[in-house]
Amino acid sequence: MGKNIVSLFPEKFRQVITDSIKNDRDKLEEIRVRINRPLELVLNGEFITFDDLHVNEVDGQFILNQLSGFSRYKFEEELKQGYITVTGGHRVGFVGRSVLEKGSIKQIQSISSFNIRIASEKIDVAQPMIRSIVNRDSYHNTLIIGPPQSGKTTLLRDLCRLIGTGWGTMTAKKVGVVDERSEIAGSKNGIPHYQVGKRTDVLDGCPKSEGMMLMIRSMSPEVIVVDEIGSHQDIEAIQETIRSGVRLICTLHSDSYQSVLRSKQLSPLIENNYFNRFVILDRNKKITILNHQGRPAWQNGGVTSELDWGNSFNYRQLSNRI
Amino acid sequence: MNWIGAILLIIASSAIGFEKAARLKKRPVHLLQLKAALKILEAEIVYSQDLLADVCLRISTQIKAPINHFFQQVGEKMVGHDELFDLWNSEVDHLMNDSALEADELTIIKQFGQTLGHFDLINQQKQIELTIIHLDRILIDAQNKYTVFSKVYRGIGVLSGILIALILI
Repeated sequence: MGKNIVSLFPEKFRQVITDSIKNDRDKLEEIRVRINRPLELVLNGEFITFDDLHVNEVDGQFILNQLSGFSRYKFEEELKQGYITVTGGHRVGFVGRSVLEKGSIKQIQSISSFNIRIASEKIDVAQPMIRSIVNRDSYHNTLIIGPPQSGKTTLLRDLCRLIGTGWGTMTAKKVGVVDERSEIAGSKNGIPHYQVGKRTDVLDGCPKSEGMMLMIRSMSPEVIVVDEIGSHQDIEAIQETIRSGVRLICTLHSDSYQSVLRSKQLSPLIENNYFNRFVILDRNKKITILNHQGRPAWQNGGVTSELDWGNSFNYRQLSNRI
Repeated sequence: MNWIGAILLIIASSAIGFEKAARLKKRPVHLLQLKAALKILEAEIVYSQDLLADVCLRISTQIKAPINHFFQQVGEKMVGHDELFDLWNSEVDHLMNDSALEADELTIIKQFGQTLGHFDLINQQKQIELTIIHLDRILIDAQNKYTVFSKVYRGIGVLSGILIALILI
């Protein structure tokens, strides 16, 4: 969270935002802007609205201009997808009136709501759980499952850093990050903003399915890291990647292992044992790790996985015996 | 004393004439620079799809004065500015003082500024092409004016100085 988020806003909002996050900068999760309604901040899952600070259309235009750097041509794809990632990996989602072409969204215009999701870098958040995805001197193919805001990307980023830098007795591995939405590394002009590891290469802004193949061809990674898989092409690319012998760690929007199993598109990945470890996250930052059969992986050596999400609000430490 | 005054008068009016002629000569040169800048802008937008601020700064390193100054100012001031259009207009006004460009082409550039950054790739490219077509028209006009009027302006400058001097003496 830095100056660059505050500078997205018109002058009259800046002081308020700076003041309200001065003490608990790490707690800020979202800033929500709705045209003709008050500004809202979400701190640790609880929201504050500023009833005397309404956002008007001009302010909305200002925010959009700052987001796009007056370069709408650059963000065609983003305006179609409904989000722009700004420096620092913060994702700004928006909705408004959608313009259609042949039945699919061409772009979103007259934006009525923005949601600025603050990316957080929590160093060492993956330290306790990383042991459970180790496979001898390498790593298991791992799927991280969780609903929005459960910390998937934060966990993935730290895993990336640990794997690419090495930890304990594990040596550093060559990590290839395919960062379609610039969220993992928060790259600006291709240079990572966050610590993603010493031996980590980042392919920024590339569609995952193409990017994974490109990575394998060009950068010979040992571990590939991708965020938010989902499309049909992604699934195919995942199968190909894992078949090619590269380890894969990826995240998926879902609420439980069972719902992934029920999904027609994703269940073949599990049934055919493409993944050996499943990391299940929930909104309370609880982490459960399952083995390839979907059972808590407690039989695999008895390593304790105690997770402390540092500054999370309930300080819930959940130990899963693995 | 009369003679000194007359000479000064003739020098002054000749200088005005020569200055006018020089402006006529510079105008096509500046128009060509502007056109080149727009060509680069088009290439940068279509092929590298960089942010407008970066594109403007890059153009400013590739084009000669005084047009480079315009793009440098726009590029530097863009970050944190509310409306690109306002910035663009005020910088176009500065450009009018710094260059030999005339109101015609500056109006076209201002109109172009209104569209800049508001469209998708294809339409942005169309706007640039349209602007270049307008500039081409003005360029031909400016070159004609130069060949026809540059000597005339110089001549008028000198002769009118002499005329006024004679009348006053």
